[in-house]
Amino acid sequence: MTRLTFSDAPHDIWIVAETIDGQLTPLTKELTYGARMSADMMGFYVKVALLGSNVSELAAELFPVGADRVYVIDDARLKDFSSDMWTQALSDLFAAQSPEFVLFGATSIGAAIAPRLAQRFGAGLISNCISLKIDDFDRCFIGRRNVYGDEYYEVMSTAGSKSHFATVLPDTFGEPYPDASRSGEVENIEVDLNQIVERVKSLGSTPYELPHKKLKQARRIVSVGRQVGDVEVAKSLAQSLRAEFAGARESIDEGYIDEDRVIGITGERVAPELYIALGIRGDTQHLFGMKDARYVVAVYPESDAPMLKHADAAIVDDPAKVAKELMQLLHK
Amino acid sequence: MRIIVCIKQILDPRGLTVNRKAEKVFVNREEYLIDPASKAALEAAESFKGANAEVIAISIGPARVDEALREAMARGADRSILIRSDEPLDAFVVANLLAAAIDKIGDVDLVLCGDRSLDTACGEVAPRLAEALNLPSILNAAKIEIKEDSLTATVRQSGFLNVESKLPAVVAIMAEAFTGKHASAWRLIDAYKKWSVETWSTSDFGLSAEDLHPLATKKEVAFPPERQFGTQVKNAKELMMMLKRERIMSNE
Amino acid sequence: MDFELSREHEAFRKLMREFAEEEVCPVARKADRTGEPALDVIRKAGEIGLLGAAYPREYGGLGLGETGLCVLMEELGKIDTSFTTMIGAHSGIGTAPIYLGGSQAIKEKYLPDLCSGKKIAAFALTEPQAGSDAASIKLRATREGDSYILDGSKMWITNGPIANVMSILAITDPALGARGGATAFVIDTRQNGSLADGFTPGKPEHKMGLHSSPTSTLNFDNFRVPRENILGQEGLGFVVMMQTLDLGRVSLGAATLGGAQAALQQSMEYAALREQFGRPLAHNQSIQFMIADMAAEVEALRSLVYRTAWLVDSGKPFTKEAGICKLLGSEIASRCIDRAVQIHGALGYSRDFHIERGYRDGRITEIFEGTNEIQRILIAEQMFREVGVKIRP
Repeated sequence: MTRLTFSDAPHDIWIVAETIDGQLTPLTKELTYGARMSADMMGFYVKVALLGSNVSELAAELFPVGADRVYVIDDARLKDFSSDMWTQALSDLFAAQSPEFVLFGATSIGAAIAPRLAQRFGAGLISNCISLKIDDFDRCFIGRRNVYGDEYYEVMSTAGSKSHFATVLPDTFGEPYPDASRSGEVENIEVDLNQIVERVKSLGSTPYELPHKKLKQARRIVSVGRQVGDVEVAKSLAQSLRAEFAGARESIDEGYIDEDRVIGITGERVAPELYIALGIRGDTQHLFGMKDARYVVAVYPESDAPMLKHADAAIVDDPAKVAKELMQLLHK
Repeated sequence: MRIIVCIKQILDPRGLTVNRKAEKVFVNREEYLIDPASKAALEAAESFKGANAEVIAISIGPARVDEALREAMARGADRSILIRSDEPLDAFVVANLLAAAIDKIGDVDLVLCGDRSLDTACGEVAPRLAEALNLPSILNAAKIEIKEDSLTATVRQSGFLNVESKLPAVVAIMAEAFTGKHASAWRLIDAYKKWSVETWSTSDFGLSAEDLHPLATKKEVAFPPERQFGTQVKNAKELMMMLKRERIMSNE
Repeated sequence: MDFELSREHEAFRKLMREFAEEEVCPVARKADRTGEPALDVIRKAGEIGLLGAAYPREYGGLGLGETGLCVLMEELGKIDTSFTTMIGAHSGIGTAPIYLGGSQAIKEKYLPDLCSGKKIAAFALTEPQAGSDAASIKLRATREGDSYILDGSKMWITNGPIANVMSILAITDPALGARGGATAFVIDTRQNGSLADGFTPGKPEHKMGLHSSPTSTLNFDNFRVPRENILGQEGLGFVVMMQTLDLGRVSLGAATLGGAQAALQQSMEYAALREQFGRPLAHNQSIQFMIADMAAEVEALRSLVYRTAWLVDSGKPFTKEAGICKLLGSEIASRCIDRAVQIHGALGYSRDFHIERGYRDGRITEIFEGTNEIQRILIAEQMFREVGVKIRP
């Protein structure tokens, strides 16, 4: 298959920036900061591709977090993300600039364009990294990605490839420490976007509901017991988390749940990524139903509840109060 | 109309025990299943069968993948093709092989993949395949409709939106779109007794050694720290920080 | 020697397990409480072809033989005995006489709808005065031109209130009685959604268990059956029914295997999790012994059931083994579920818990389709026959 080649021997580390509501995303800054740390070790420049409409002014914000040079493609047609436009614009830029290492955010944009560009240039790609470094001996990315949720990790290497791409999840490099004294260069790039036809057109948002998920397959569950305090708060928390609402058996008697929402040995056995137990004491009968949950949060007013001992995060407090606070934090 | 469905077979995680302390994955029961997102893709393809669509399922891998392709036929595929390979492959090689196979089949109107597999969730194959075939790609789709030579897909961003593209195109269907429909037992038995899985080889397509060489390889597996049960957390704020750190909240 | 199921049987098992877990399991508890049979789930099973496991493709089945039926019954047996009993009565003993004894035309008329669940079958043999002593049946079939007229009643008929098609044994020659004077028929008990003329099912019985598997009496009063609906030969209906019961004992063995296996699995998981005196129950030798005994019995039963299914499918004699499947299977299941209740303590006695349901439901397997006492007599009869001794008149 024919592939694009770089004009030069690949060099330097690149970040593909993303903006939201006219601002750089926190992840873009984190990636730039993460790249800076590797660049110093490898003797690279940190370069950022900044695409969008009216984004030129944002370039300056990238220098304090580590960028040396920002390539700006500012065009009204790049206002909304479009896979074909972005791919082509970046492809032209990369062909001319020959990046060796490229970081994308593990976002819907990164997921759409990183694999396409990697395929186009014959680059190795590690997707959804939760840790990432450059191996200075093999000159490649070494990155970790989750397998089966986060049951365990695979350590992936792009050795054997000439250029190396990765999409990176937030909190991989940590919060940047900006250095206000750093500066860099901005280069405006002209790309002839008239040549590019966007093949996928948006028709706007639409109401849609996914097929009903059975409790068994839920990714998140908010589950209540007798001591929940205010069950309505728990229900709203479930809604804000896009979680299923369920409960321990005694919750039927309290009128909190229907029979088909019971978790435990006498109900469903579930294995969600997140299980929040609000006011559930945690007898064996209940634990049986949720022991396969990946991450368990328990809130209970008394410290001797077995549920707390089976939780990854245990809070001794009024469950409704904690749920309310959690919701406020979520909506922020 | 000819629809290709690319199938991934994965190890059933219900048969696995991950022991973080011993840093080992124990396979208690070695059973394989069709990845849920691939199942959703098959279901989407099957919905067009009334409209005279020919559905062809393709997968790549060792002999055991035969079982997944027979199930794919039970779930509506008219033909199935296994590209035999016992090597570990990355999404680059998978996309190259699928693209070459799709070229060989010819006259393909729609290519469906699973959006993210349950195991590695990397979601690379569909966009890479679209690139290799020089086709538009639509990711994260919940539903598709076809009107003559174009398709409308309902995709998830923060909410849902409709997008439109000309055919042919590559569409990745998300696992959540699967309705839980069961395979037809009659078709399942036919898939074993009457029909066969065509077996192709990675050398059938004239791909270069470079195209068949993985660019990302697995070095080893690693494990999160052991779970600290009973860890006391003071309040909601601290809890939120922990959830972020554990990446429970990162996919919002 | 090959102990592996064929690939299509394995694939069928996977599908069957998925169906049982995803469709039967979620409705079983509620069905037990309300007593409403899960007809929707039967319909779904039929729509995807599960119900015709044993019968050939040309009649709408899957062609998986007795082994296929055993796979179906084992996977259902793991989840819910009520549902399994309905399916056993439908797919197994209700349909088998039609397949074994029906003319080509009758098979073509009935089997496809039974395999696809459009119609539900029942097996009507037992009468108030003829339980284990099946030869004492009284239900009369009188010849009238090209038809027979049925008069009398049946009792304890699984699916009685819901079936549209029944395999029934009636006396056509009272002088000869069951042996030589009994004829099997297939009858339509419902027409266009209402009860056929001359047929009324009784109210569902109140039973200790199997609450969602309706059982009732059947009353026939001047009920007309066309002559072509005879299964097997006139006067030799007892043979068809006994052959059917032999087959039913094998698949019932498979159902009890599923039940025993599920009791074992549930007990292991609970014993590993439940802590008393600061350690999991599983660390107690008394519990370990129970688990080991269950495992040993389950393994032995599995070998027996599938070997017997193989005998059936290879056309070899299997009457003795079928009796042993029923005898051993029901007793092993009862022992396993009893141990499971014990291991779960008070929880095992709770109405909210499926082990308690299994305990109630499972008891019948030692009674129906020939009590275990009858099974022992039949097995002994077969054993003595091997040394040339006849122990029954």
